[in-house]
Amino acid sequence: MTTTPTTGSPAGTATRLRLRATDGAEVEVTPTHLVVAGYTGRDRAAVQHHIDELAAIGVPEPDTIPAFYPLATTCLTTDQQIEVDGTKTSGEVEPVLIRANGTYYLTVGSDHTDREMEKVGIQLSKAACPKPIADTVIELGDPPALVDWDSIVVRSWVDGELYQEGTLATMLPITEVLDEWDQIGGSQGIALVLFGGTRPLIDGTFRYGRDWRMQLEVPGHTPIELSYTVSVRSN
Amino acid sequence: MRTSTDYLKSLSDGRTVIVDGKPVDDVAADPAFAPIARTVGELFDIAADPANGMQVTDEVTGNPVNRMYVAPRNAEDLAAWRDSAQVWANHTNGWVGRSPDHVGAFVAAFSAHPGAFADERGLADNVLAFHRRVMENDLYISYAIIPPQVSRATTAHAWDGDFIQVGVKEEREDGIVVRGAQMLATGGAVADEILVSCIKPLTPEDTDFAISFTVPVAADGLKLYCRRPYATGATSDFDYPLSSRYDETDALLVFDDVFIPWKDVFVYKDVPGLRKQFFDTGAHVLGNFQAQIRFATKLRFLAGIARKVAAVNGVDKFPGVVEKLGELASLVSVVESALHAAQFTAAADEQGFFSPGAQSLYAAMGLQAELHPRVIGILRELVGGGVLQVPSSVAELVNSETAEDMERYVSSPGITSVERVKLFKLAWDAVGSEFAGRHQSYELFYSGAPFVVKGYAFRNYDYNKPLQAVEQFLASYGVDGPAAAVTEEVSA
Repeated sequence: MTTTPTTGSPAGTATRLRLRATDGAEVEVTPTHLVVAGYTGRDRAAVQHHIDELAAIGVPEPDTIPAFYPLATTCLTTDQQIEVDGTKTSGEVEPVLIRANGTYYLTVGSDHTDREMEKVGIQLSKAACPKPIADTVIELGDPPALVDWDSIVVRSWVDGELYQEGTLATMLPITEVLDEWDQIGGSQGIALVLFGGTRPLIDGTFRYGRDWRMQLEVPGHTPIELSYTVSVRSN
Repeated sequence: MRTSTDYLKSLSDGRTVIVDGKPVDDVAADPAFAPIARTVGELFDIAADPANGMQVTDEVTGNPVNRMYVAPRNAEDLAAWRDSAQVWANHTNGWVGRSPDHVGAFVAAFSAHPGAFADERGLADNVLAFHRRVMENDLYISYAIIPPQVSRATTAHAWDGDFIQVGVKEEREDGIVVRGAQMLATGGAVADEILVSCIKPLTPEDTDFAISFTVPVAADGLKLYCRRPYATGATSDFDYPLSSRYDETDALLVFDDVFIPWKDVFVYKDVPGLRKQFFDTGAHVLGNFQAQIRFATKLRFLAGIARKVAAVNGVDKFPGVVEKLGELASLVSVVESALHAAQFTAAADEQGFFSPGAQSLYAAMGLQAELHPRVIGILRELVGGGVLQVPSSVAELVNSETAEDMERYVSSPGITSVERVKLFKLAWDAVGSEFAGRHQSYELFYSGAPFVVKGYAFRNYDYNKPLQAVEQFLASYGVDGPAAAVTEEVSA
């Protein structure tokens, strides 16, 4: 586990994301850094309680709260199909903040994770799967203006069934998560994609489905959608 | 979608509804509650039939849901929402004030503004999950949002004895324990759950009472003390056609240490949060838009009785009667026009919730306490003594010893005694029965005491424009103006 930012993807393999703003404008982003945040609950006492629960079953405590897991930007994809190695992988809907081109964008992503590998190490489990994001973004400007964070609703479905649904009101606003990251990593001025953490599952049980759908509904905007299909890589 | 069969079956759940000093065995079978339960069941059947146009696809599940439980997002949504409310209102002719779409509308608006409930406990998520539960299961939610009438001079914290108004007695890790009472759960005896909160402004000392939660009617420790039911006093459908169908019953809720899990808590010890849930979410506007659709439907029905009575009595060409019918037409049209205006001036708020125009809506509400008694008053004048010369019951019309007298003395040209008595019995149930008396009070205080409702109208009216007009006019002349000359000309 580390909280030091990686150096980004190797030269020549830069991930280029072709996105579209909600007003129709084309947005191209070549991220230099990808960071997935965890333990982003707003109630620090509740977060600590959850960490203590996990510690009791052997999951190591994070170095920081929120915790940050830097990954290679090559993990990022807007493809509608992803391939994974494990059979027990699942998605999680997350708000995603992109800092690039002198502005900020908000979109939705899935912190698709290998649940078997999670027992070995969180960083490994996250790195084991691609990180799909939607190809539509809401431009927030600079500084980023979150309309009404508490009213933003995220949802996910697995194989057509609702899997997660709720507001982001219990989570730290993603701009605050970014501030924390900036203080630790000092990664100002680079093209950063930040996953802002997720919320509990409706029935509390992981599911390993094939078709995933994620939605971020910002009040007053058309919901941003992401759909992808998971297939297990055949060796 | 849910049907009357599912709904009626679900009512046999051990709920404690008290009448005449003891609990009712089974509300769905009890003569006091079975009639209104049947009427509510019919509403569910109507919504479940796609032909009635009340369904919309829930984009989250892809399943059909009742449109009344979905917050409108644009003008087309709102128009369809109003049409759906009208379908249900037509079925009850506006006589059921707390049909499932009333609190359903509040919950729909809550879900469009979850941020208004945000706190670190995740109450905003509870609201979303509650909305999903109501929408996916076609639940009938009633509400109790008024403190018991102990004293209007003070608020809950100052009342003798702990927890007169329902409040938080104990906070636990898994939820809260509430104790006390709240009113006035109209329809509560036959609802699935009751939303309990307080719409009356509280003070910072009332924190323990500043809560909002939902509770299943059958929850352990919850008792519903009903006022006297009128359906049981109805000797037959023919004699009391309204009492025997539409008596919702009102109930005082008493919470004897009732456990409420956190998932069912929406506002917790938050005095400003109480106001926010109703007024920052659009819930009060959307819920009362439904209420005025229902109210207009009832006024229309009352006008219909008046028009028919005037025709049957052969007085509908008399200038005095035409004037009365004209006034009724005006009164009904005022409310209908306010609804049109509220729809015409509707707009999306920052959350994308398409809210009916508040000025027009609250204008109609501000007049409800005047309009209803006036309509009833005119109807009472038009039916005259006709409602007092009806036989004691339908029996006189069918009994061979009395039927002949009835046909000879209690009929009108072109109409049989049965038809005439039927009409005047209906008129009596609208203006004179105990059911009618309750409706007079109910409409008078529907959205609160008249001063409260007129306060809404005041706050939702932009007085800047009229003030500006008067200021400009006053500034257009002074003490040296030409007024004196005009006076001279007139007197010359």
